[in-house]
Amino acid sequence: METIGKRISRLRREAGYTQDTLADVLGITPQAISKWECDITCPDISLLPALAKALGVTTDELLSGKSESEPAVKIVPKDERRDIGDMMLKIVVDSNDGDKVRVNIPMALVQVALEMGMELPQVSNKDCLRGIDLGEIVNLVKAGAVGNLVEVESSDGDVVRIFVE
Amino acid sequence: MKITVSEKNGKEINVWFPTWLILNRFGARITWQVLKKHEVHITSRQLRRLVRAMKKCKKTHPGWRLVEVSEHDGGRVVIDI
Repeated sequence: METIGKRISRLRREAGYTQDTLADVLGITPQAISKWECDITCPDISLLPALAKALGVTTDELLSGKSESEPAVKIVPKDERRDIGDMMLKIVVDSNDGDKVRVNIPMALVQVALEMGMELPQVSNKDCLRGIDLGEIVNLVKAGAVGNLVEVESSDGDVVRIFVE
Repeated sequence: MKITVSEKNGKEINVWFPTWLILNRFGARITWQVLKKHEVHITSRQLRRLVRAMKKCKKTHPGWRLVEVSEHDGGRVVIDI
């Protein structure tokens, strides 16, 4: 997972700044930027809008790493698609009480499990996923869909997401 | 295969063992019993196929993190294949 320091470093390089030039823009020392990028310290909250503006992103994108313009699901063109066997299905469960579960299953294994008649609740142990057709997810991936394919919020506040990358 | 168990007080236990120790006929038999308990009915032929697929996935996805569970009180369990 990309840390905020690594994200600042990447965005800085993408924006064509050196640590010195970015420090000049923000009116701080290059050492402060170095500490952010090494995840030793974090930027002061009052600096976030100026930092985001300098890096050409929103503060939300700077903090979360998610681009607002980036769609949750995208269709990969046929010539750029990876082999389905190289892809990974990720089931993310964020429970209401703060517990987090991440299950990563290679798509090749998903296909085998599907042929064996397995369903998603058997994998994720969440009844809110009952009724979601694993076969349809595989078909979507075969059609080039990647990203956050399913997002379910149960009545007790648990959030379950299924995404493919 | 590596299993990491971190407790909320900072203690961490790492257990390494060869994947073949799990992905074999005996392991498959145990898995079959567990699946049966969870009302997943599969044949031994299907299970052998699943084990073969897992072995293949281990090669195609080096560093495959199968499960990561983080508890709200700081406990964490990770299984890397």
